[in-house]
Amino acid sequence: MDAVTRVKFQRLESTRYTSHLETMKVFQRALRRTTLEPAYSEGFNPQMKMVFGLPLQVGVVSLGEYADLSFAREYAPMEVLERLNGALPEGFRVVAAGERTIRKNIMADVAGALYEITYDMDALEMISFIQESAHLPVIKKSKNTLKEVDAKPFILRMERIGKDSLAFLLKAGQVNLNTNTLTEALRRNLGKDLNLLALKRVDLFVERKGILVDALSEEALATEES
Amino acid sequence: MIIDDRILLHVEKPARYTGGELHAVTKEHGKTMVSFAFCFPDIYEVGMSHLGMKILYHVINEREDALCERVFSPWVDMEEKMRQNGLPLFSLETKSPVSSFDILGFTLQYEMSYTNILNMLDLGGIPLLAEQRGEGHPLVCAGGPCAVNPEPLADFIDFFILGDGEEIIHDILDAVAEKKKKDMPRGKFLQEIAALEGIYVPSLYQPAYNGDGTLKEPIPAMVQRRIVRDLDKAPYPDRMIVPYINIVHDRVMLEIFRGCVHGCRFCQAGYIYRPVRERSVTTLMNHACSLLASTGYEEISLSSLSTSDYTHLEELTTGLLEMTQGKNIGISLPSLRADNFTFGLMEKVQSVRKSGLTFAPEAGTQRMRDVINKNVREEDILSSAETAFKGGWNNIKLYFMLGLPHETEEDVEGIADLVYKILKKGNSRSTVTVSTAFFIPKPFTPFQWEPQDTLEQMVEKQRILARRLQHRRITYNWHDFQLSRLEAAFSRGDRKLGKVLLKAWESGCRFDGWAEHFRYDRWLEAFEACSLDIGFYTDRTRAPDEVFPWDHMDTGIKKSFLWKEKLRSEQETLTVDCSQGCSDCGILQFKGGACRGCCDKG
Repeated sequence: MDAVTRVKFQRLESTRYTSHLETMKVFQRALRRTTLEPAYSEGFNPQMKMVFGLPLQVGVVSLGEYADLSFAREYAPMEVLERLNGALPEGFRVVAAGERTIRKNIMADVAGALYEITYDMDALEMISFIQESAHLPVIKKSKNTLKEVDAKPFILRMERIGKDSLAFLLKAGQVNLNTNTLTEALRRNLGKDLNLLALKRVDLFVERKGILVDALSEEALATEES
Repeated sequence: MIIDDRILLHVEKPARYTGGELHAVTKEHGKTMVSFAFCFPDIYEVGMSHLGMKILYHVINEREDALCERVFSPWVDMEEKMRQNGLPLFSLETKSPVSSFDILGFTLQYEMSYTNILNMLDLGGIPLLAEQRGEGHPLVCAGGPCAVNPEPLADFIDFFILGDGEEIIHDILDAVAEKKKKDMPRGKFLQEIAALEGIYVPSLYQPAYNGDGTLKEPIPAMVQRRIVRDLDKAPYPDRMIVPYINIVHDRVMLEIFRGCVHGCRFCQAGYIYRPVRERSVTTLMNHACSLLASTGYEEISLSSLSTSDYTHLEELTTGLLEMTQGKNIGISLPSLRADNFTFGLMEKVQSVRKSGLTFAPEAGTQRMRDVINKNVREEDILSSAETAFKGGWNNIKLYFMLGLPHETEEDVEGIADLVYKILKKGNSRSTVTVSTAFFIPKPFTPFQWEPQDTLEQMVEKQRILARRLQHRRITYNWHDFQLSRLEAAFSRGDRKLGKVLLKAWESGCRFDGWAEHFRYDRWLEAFEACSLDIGFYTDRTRAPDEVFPWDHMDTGIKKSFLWKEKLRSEQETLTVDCSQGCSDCGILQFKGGACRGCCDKG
């Protein structure tokens, strides 16, 4: 098996309009500018093997994005971090790295996402509104379908971090609630106009033994969820 | 200036407007700095694919006393937001309003981008008409292939640049630096810069017309085209901006030579970039090596008018293959002639992936190919097609022109006949994609005296061909007739068309080259409002002695040579290419330039 390094990176102000696919290209080209030897897929059109975590909508800054990068040989995680940072364009910054030894990649493993959101509504009022709502029904739009879902069970934790600002820990992964749908759910159930003033993704987590843990922790990198 | 989310989150592909890419150069605008805004009158993805911009961006930013930033035409959604929010047109590097630059330089790649130039000036808060601009406004210049006939834009541009930009740009920057230092008035500056070789200041001349609308006499300026004599020593960027979003040509581009030895009589590029000037294999390998390392691109493409004509193609491709071996870097070779050598090469280069294969016979019959001096024989085309189908290509793209001078119905039918012969060379799964464009007579070609087909003729020829090409294994695409007609009007247009352009822009025309935005009806109204007839520009056979609006632009090609070539086309006589003999086109006046075969290799 190839050596896999998981990197945690930031998508900052100047690069936040880069889409998921474009971000992969940015990393591919950055890797080509280093002396690192990436692993390639087999077949007629070999591609660098890399998997990125939960896609993030364009325009949003993130302090905690993850990518699992496969290499043809083993490197110390710090070497990958330093070489990548030497090659990445301004606006992308790798902040931590670790060796992944389990098979499951970050895309499949992600279970939670932490956001900081500011609405034009008092944070404490928002918290009590959400706590008092048994359900937060909303129409979720996916590729070709419209489906009603309940946003409430996706909200795992909330915390006031400023007058109008909240930290939201949302359930994420294969079944996911993005922040657009969350905002829509709040707007619909509040029955009033609600404006999103600021939004930032802070981190992604994986689940081990029923608890969300840091995606670069020992458990996350070396133990599979049973 | 800050372009905020209220705008960017509501437009398609915001990264078109945010800049900050790898290798973008940001310098501080200072009092002594000469600031040049390179303006590309189309969207980011198109403009960023343009090699000329990459070269000039590099050349200007290498200077300590100058800076170059990029400006593209905002797409219609962004234009709407900008106008709503009073946001002026800005550069990508420092988000400075274009009005704060010393010089705006537009590149003229295509006549149908002219309304975008007007639109960009307007979005920049800069008066459209050169005569209305004053001391506080930037100088507006333009260069590129369409500058060989600058007259339709004469009202809007302060000065035009004729020829290669790498050297003359230094003269221009020096002159502007001097102007800034001495606080020289605009009018005096324009008079002085007009004396530079390769510069044309249209406001210094007023054309006079005969009663029939033709020019009385050539515009008395003598503008000699500037060329880089030794391309091998010419500057070439060692890094290129790597965009975040996909652009049209998203790869390392390696310009192997400039000019073309063939004299296809419809092809303007084949004349206006003469003589052929090559880069050496050593130089190209060095450029390739540093560009791949600095960009991280996964593909490198050779760029020229005809890759097969590069004298050391085998050595170069072998070298590139060695360099990229094991690195999963693709090499693409566009503009290849379809012969056996080519197939060997393509097998080597694309050992796994079969990308598209395009042949351009241009015409269907041998007679027609002789008229246009396209030196390709039917048996070559057929054997190439056979080799391609046998070699595993399932689809071949074919490119033809309709409406060429002296075309008969037989020639139109001949296109279909050839397509079927090609299809027969394949098996039951082979497919052919046929594209036709309508011939557009261009200045500085032997066909500059020829009329274009009328819309009725175009429709009829198109109908004949479309009917003949109805087959489940043939896909047929064609260009818009009306767009071809408008392009023809502007390519051989005179200064009177400036009014039409302004009118069309005022009525909302922009992005005319984009089918979804092209409004022929508005253009016709604009012609009418200016009491001009588009047919004057498109439908007329010009008299042998007619004075052309571009006669004062000296590209190095003699008008008498072009006339001789026109007569040869009528006699269906071929002219040898420059590697086999000199036909005395006039380009030898550029001493030190290298015409191959006819003179000592420079």
